[in-house]
Amino acid sequence: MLSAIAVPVIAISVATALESLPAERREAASALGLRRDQLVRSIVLPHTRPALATGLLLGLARAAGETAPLLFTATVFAGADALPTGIVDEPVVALPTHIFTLAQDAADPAALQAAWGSALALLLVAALLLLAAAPVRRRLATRGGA
Amino acid sequence: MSAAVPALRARDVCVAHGDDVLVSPMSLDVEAGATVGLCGPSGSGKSTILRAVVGLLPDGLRARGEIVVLGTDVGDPASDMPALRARAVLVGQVPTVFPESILANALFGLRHVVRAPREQLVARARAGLVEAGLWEEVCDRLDAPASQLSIGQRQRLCLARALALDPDLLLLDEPTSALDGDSKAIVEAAIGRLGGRRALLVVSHDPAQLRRLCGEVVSLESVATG
Repeated sequence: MLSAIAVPVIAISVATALESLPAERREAASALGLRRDQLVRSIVLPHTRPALATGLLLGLARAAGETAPLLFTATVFAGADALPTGIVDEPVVALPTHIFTLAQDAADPAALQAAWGSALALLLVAALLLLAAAPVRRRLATRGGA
Repeated sequence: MSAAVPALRARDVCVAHGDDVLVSPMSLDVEAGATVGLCGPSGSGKSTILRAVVGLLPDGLRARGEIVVLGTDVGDPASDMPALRARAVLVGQVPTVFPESILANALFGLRHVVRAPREQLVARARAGLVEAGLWEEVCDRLDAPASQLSIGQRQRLCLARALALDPDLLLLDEPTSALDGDSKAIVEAAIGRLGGRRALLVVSHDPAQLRRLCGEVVSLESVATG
């Protein structure tokens, strides 16, 4: 479900990078006898890698804040416990829905405090992902020369 | 390559976009080891012909007629065009270097096309740089980014990575059009040294340059038949 939210961000980022790939570079590689798969590995992927990494981080940050889709698909209505008992089949609790659940017990000061703490953790995770996007892109672009 | 097999044989070749003929029918032969120049005014289709020879026409354009390169029919869908392009290498008009080091650029075609130990590939890349007249200028900074080279040096690096493949036919598209006087003379000298060792088809809008470089010069207008 969350992939439907994250994928467009990644796709737009990569598509923009693909459009910026100079046609001369593809042609120069083809003229040296590279096959299509070699062209993708040696020319297209190195050029789009920074944008792919940025898109992944931004998409993840975007998806991390989603609450409503998780309520219906993975957490509350799927009967998730406070802590998961497995990593494959068990429903899980995401931070946004955890905050939502705690906020419903706002009369309890401990629950409210935990909600504020969880909100801060979510904010920090999203901020970290967003702040990391630009340096990661720059670093990969420098390494790939793109 | 057998001496009996011409490097290039083009018969009644034209390039069209749908029903619109963009390059009039022409015929051209390049024998093994020969250096042939193709001249014509801007827009006459010289570069398009070179692209047609190696099957790299832009989307929407189609070549008609017979093009046989090193014994391979370019129009045959069963032909292995990437393998042919490694033997008949096109060096484009714009000196495009890859965003890697000078050595990685010289090795670029080799490491994808030739399966051999790296030392052998590096030796061939070095030979390409020597043949293109660039070795003396870059031998102490092979790991430097190729983007640091001047336009003239980039042009010779493009030539070097093509030569490293040891092609039977080299197709040079306006090899000095982006260069100033000194760089032009250096690149011309490098091209001049290639003559006789492999077949060359050089495209230029400058007939005087082609007369200096080539044993035979063909004008695109003079070969057009309709």
